[in-house]
Amino acid sequence: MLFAKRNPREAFEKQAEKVFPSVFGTALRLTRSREEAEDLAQEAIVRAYEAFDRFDGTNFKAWMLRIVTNLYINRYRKKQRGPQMGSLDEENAVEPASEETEVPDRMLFDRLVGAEVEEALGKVPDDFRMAVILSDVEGMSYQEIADAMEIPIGTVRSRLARGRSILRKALADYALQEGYVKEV
Amino acid sequence: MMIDREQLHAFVDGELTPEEKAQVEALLDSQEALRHQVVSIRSMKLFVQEKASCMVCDTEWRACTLRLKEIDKARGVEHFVSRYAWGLCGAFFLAILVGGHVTRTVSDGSMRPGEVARIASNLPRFSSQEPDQLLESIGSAMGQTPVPSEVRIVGGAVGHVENRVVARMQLSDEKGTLSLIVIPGGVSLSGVRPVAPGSRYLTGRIDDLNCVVWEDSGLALILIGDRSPQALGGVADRVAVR
Repeated sequence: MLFAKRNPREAFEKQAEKVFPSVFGTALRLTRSREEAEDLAQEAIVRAYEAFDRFDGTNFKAWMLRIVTNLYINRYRKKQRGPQMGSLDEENAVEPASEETEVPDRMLFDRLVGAEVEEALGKVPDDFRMAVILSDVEGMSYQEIADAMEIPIGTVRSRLARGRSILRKALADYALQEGYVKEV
Repeated sequence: MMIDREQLHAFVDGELTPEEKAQVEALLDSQEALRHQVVSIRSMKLFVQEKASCMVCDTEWRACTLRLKEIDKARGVEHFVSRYAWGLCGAFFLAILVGGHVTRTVSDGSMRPGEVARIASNLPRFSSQEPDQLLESIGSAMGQTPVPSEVRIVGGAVGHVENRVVARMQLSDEKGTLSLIVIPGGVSLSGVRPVAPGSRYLTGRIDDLNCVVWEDSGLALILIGDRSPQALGGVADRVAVR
């Protein structure tokens, strides 16, 4: 802490550099635009730096991702104005086909590449995608996701379950479309 | 006992309480379909973790560090200004005071035309003294006095203005009135030029009137009137210091 007091920027950069790929990746997966992701990630870094003296010192990555998520919710999504896929509420969310399938998952998805997974992630409605990214890509706990998205843990659970189901359906469609499997 | 889909996801994520976890595990032992779902959820989660591409973002990070540097610079300036604001104000105030003092005391003695006008305005144009008495007063105050000829002395005064002995004579001839300001010691007036090449008289403007300035026997004389510099020089030629 003495070091942090002496040179706060150096101390901040040291921690921020490690988590920046997660910050930028989350920003990109949320905004689906590199330009907007750059803006969002940079804004998040600036906000975090300005609030660094208030960071409790426990989980820097979760703190950073919370800032990114909050910024995205408060700023970018409001800016977009138009009808959002993410505006689907929990009750009206698209319910995918049953997760039980005769085709083993490995056979379904193994041949898909990262870009196709990212593409499929983009098809998941906003709020559900956010929960899936924070949990499955960034490894955040339900409590951390709830704090970041400012929603109750029960909502995190439901969004994750539905988000994953939608993602699974999108990936299966991809696999079928690309001819990796003949039927799902 | 029934188990819902969200609980199954929470089980895979390790987010159930020990009691809930035990319940789910008990059900998994007895229900193959449930086990199948758990495997499906788990493999899906792992699959996304594996395949989500790692972002290459060195350029974006560099842009962030540059922005942080700029913020630090701005903070440094703000910090300096807020911390030393009173000091800076004091320094400026002191600089103004010192500048004023230097202008008054350490300058080369040159005066602006406006200063001459201000000094002259502090003396009355007319006095109850007769011309001879006035000349005597000036002589006793300055040790010598300018004596104009072919012009009438119609008034004037001698006194102290800003720690200087200053005299003012109001003169008159057929072309009108003139003012003659007398200041002992060398006084150089800024913004003046010779009336003619080689002339002992310098000319300038005071209070929108022409003036000529010259020195004689340790007195600085400034003749002001609404006429040309050459005409003023002609009057000055007829002023002798005794």
